[in-house]
Amino acid sequence: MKIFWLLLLSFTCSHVFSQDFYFRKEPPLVVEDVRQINIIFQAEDQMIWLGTDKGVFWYDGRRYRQSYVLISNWQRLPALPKVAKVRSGRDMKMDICIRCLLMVMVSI
Amino acid sequence: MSAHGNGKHIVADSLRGSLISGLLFNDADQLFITTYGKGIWKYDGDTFKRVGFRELAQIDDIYDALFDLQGRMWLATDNGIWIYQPGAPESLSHIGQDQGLPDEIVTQLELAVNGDIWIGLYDHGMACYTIDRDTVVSLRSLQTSIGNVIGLCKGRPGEGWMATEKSIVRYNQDGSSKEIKLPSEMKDRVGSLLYDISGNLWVANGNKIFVANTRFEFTEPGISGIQALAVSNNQIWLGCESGLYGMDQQHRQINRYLANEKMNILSMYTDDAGMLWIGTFGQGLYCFDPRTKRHLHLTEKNGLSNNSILNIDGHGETIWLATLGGISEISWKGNPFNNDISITGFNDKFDFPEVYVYDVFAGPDGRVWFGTDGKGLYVYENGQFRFFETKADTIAQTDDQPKTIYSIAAGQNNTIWISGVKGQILQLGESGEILDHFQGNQGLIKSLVLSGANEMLMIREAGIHVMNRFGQSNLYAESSGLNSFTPTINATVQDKDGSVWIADTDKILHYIPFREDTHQQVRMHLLSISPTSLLNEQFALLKADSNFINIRYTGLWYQDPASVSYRYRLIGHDQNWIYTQDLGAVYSNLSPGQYTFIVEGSHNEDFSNAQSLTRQFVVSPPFYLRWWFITGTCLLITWIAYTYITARIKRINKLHELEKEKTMLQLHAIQAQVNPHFLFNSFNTLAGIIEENQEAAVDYVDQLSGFFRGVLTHRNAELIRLEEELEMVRNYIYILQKRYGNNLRIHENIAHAAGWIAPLSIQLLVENAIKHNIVSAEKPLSISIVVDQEWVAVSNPIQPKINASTESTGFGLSSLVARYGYLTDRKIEIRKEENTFAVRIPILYNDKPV
Repeated sequence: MKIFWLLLLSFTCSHVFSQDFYFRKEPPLVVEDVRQINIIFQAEDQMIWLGTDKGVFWYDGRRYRQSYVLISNWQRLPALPKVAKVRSGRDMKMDICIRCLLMVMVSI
Repeated sequence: MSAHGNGKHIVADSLRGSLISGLLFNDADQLFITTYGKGIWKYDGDTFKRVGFRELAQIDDIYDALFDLQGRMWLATDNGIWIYQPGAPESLSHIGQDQGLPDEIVTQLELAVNGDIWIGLYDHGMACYTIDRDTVVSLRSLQTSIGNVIGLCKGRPGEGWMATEKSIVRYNQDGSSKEIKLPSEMKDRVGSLLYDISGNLWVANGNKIFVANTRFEFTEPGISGIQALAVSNNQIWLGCESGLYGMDQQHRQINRYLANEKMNILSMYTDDAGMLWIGTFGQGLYCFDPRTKRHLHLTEKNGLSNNSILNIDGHGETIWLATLGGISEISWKGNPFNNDISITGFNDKFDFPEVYVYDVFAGPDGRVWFGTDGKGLYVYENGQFRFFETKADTIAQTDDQPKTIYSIAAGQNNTIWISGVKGQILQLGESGEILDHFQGNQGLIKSLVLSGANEMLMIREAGIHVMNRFGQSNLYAESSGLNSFTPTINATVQDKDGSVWIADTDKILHYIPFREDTHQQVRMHLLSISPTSLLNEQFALLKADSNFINIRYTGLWYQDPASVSYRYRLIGHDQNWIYTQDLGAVYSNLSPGQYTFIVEGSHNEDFSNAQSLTRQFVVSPPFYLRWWFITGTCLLITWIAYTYITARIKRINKLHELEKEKTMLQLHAIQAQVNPHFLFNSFNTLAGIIEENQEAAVDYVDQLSGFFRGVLTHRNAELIRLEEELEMVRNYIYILQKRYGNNLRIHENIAHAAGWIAPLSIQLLVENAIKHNIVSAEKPLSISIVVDQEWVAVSNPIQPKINASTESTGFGLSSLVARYGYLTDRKIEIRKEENTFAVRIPILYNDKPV
């Protein structure tokens, strides 16, 4: 009985707490019908790059802009089909790795 | 709007059918490609070659890879971690469950700043390889219900973040971890995680992005009326209207203490020995020992100045109380519970009035400061208590010198910060000079407190102004979740880690300084610029017709993107800065000259330390403003003027000469009129005729007078009709034939008698013929006058006089030639052959007489 009262007292006198962050919601990426952002990456120049199911975008905190990539003498691709991984490259370049396609893109 | 990029595209045919999981450059700048399905490949700039060293050749599925600080390649696989050392000699080692890895399936790797490796496991959370100990530290395992590990990222030193499909967890290298509560709006699976360079945590969720400022952590303890904070060890003490509570950081529990004491707590202080001093509203002072749970109660009866204690601070074994009735000093030796306490009231000792004292601050230099209600700032130093006078330099500073001081904090270099009732803030030097001054137009400052990173936190409602040690300030407000934050006056405390705890009435804000405070500026980016020759930062030379400048830029400040504003200026065009929120500037029709475009971004409208984008260029002048064109044009104009003036002078001279010729001709004609020989001969002839034939004499006189009448009539004319000239010539010839008889023979052949001719020109030629040739019976002179449509030709045989009485001056014929040169382009033709002298005078038709 004594243990019961001690347990009851501890429940009434103490409780757990949690510490949380405030998450600010950025404007949704509604360009080009993007459904999934797979990668968020910050380049050395601090720009945020997004790898999505509809290609590469960059974000300055206000607007999203799609990154068009000029591939040699080929056609201008409006988007990359699938961005799997983004790594910061050398000399302020950005390396974007997509399925079966390697691309070295000069960061803006 | 599109971004852009110059791309180098490499088609990796040999990798088709596999997922490229990583791109790695080693220190030699060699590119390695890891794949899920076809192992590791090395790219030499031309071809791909698979890396096949020992067991590595059998590893096809690689989830992730990185190079560590020693240049070794770490490979995350289904079979633990493989560490490959490229080069000569190659080596390969393995980390699996035998080496402490909680799970064999490793999906993520992340290199920490200190060289440690954060390891993401398929369904066992996270581990950390510590480079110093060369061991794997197994961090807290996660329940499989929160999903598989999706991504890792490094945070502050010793801190790693992990994202699973359903949660985000923060790990520390000491083994502690914390699952982050995600907002209810995150309904999709977590797609990616990023901890950016400014301490923001980015979470991708579907097509949405959420950003948390990890400087600020909120705790809702479930207690209201929080009015004071203190800290000791792992305990955060909450002083509330309802009593004392302790927040156990380790067990995340809140417990109530001194529940039997009815305390409305206004202030708290933890001394060096860990004793908690508690100031109340109306119930005096408590001293509480957290270890023994004993407490001590002091009131006005024990000598306190007042039982309502607004603030407490101290040094060693002495504390000072700011009360509603003055100041009290309490000191003790050893343990305050041994009744060896000394209480001194400043009211009695220093004759200090019983006024409200809102804040007391024991500075690190030994001075103790007191902020009063209406009496200004006081300082207690070396046993002396005195009013601290502030010295203002400007009227604004004078107006803002506070008499009522709510909060005091120490700055760097023994400076003191105080805040007043109007919200103004002053930074004071050692002798009271005002070093910095902020006007209180953003509301009342509830507290001033220095963080462990030497940042001055100015805490007000709905925002915290943070000034770092470089003087750069930043306002954190709504974007950091502070829009509903209502801080309590002076309810702040700094813990041993240098972070600051700030009380709201019902929640606690934990401010964790971000020590990488070199990123306090808006990072400027050039988006596009036209003309494109301005893309490079080098000095650009623009053509005259390229004087249209269109610049687009953006500023990165992810802590609060909406707060970014810009100012730009085109030096050479704009007199002042142009302040704007726009992301572009356009200039058209720039005049030739040198320009410098500068755009700066700021998150707090203070551009003094702002980063800038600069472009310098020159707009070239058009060709008509170039020196060579101007010089050439000047030379051309000079030449034209010179030519014109020369021609004009020549023409004027010619006219003058012509006038002279004309005058001379007139003179010659007048002379002819009065030529004594002509008259003498004419009168002799007339005398002879009168005697022989009077009718012929009359006729002769008629002819003579007719000739002179013609001379008088036409002597001033430029031209006369040919038939009139012929009439005068016939008169002249008649007179001459009366003199010379048959010795002078005139042959006229007048086919045409129209047109114009210079007056007396034929007469002159006839006269010249007689003047220069013998006219005698032995040698009669035949003069031929032939007129056709174009010419009047006068010719005679050459019979020169042996002793000519009248020497020829050549004036008559040459003046006639010059005169015709003025009248027409057709020249007088003079032909002198062996026996014949002939002159042809052009007949003029279109030329009118002058």
